Amino acid sequence: MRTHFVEMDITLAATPAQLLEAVERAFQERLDGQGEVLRWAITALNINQGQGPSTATVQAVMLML
Amino acid sequence: MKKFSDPKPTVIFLVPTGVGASIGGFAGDALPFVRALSQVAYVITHPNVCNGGSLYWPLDDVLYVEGYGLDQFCADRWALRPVFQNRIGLLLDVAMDSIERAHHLNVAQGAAATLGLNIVGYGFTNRPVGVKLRDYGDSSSSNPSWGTIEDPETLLEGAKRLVQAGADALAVVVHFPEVEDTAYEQGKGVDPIAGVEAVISHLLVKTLGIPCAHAPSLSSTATTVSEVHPRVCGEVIGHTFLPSVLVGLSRAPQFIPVSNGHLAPTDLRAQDVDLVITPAHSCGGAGILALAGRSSAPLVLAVEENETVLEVPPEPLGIKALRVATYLEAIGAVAAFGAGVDPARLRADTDWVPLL
Repeated sequence: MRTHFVEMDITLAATPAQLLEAVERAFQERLDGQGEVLRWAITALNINQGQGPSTATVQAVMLML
Repeated sequence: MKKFSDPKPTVIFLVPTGVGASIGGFAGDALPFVRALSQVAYVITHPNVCNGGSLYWPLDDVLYVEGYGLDQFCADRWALRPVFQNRIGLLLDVAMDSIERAHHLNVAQGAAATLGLNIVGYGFTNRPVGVKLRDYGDSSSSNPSWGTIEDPETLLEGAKRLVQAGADALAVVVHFPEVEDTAYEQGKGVDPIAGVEAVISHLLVKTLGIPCAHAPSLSSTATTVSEVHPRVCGEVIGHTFLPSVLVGLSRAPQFIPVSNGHLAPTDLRAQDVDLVITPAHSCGGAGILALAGRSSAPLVLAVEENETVLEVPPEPLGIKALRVATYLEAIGAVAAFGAGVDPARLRADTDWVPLL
C-alpha cells in the first residue's frame, strides 16, 4: 500500500454533475482496480477560445493497493 | 431544505486546504468569519477553518467535519449525526522525538483534566509514517500544497487498535520534516504541509468512517522566538497544534452511510444545505461540484476577497454562483436568505423579473 500523486486533464462538461462524472470515470480508468482516490481537486482551467475543447487540470493523491 | 423548526439556514463554509487562501490559509484564521456566520446560520465546516493550533473557539451551531467526510456528505453518501461528545483516541507517529512526545501527551492529559474531554487513550504507530512533501520550494510558489506518506498501513494499524479500544474519533499527530518558510510565517503564500495533512486524515476517515483530524509535529531546535504574521500566530504560541484538534473532534458529528437505511430524523443530509460559501477562485473541489450538480442545488456564494493560488472560478464549471465581494457581504446574504429575501435583490442594479 502506498500513496501516489497524479495529474490529468479532463474535458470540461456543461454541468457540474457531468464534470464530476467525467472526473470519476477518468480516475477509474487510471486506477484500473488497483487503488482508490484519497483526495482530488481541479487546480487549473485551460479555456480554449474556438479551437479544441476546454479542459480542467485535476490533481489527486491515490492510495495504491 | 427547510425543516419546520429550523430558525436559521444551513451553510457549508469552505476554504480549500493548501491553496494559499489569503483568509483561512494559515492558523485557523477563518474562524472569526465562522463565529460571525454562526449567528445567522448553522455552519458545517472543516478542521483547517477552525484549527488555530493553540487557539480555538467551540461553537454550538458549527459542525466540524473532516474534508473526506465532507465530500461524502455533499455527494449524499454519508449523513452527519450531531453528538454531545466523542470518545477520542490519540495516535502518535513513532518517529517523534522524546520532546515532541512529551509535549503532545501533556496536551492530551491537559485536555482531559482541564477541559473534561473524553480521551480514551493514546497509542503509537509501529513504524514511522514517513511524510514526503511534494515539490516543495517555498510558499511563494503558485502551486497548491501536496504530499504523500510512505507507510499508510502503519497509520491504519495504529488507528484500528484505538478504535478497538473504544475510540469513535481520532486525533492523529504525524512527524513532519523541518520546513523553513519565512514567506508563510509572514502571512503569504501556501501552507507547505497542509496538502499532506489532508491526505493523512482522508485516508483514516475513508477507511474507518469516523471523525478524524490531524495535527503536525515538527522538531524544534529553535533557541530564539521571532514575531510572525498575526494569521500564523496560533501555530507558534504553543509547543503543538493539538489543542484545537482535540476540541474540534470532541463534538464532531458522526458519519452515517445513507445506504444503511438507519437514519434519524435529526441526521443532516446534502439536501439540507441551503447555501455554500467558497473563495471565488477555488471552486473545483469534489464537494462543491456534487452540491452544485444537485437538481435543487444550494445557493453558492463566491467570495472574491479571498484570493488563492488557484484560478478556478465557478462559471466555467457550470456552477451558478452569486459573487460577493467580501465575507461581510456573504454573511449579509445568508441573513437575507434566512429572512426570506433573495440576496441578489439587495443591490442597486436589481434586475427586472423576466417573462418566461
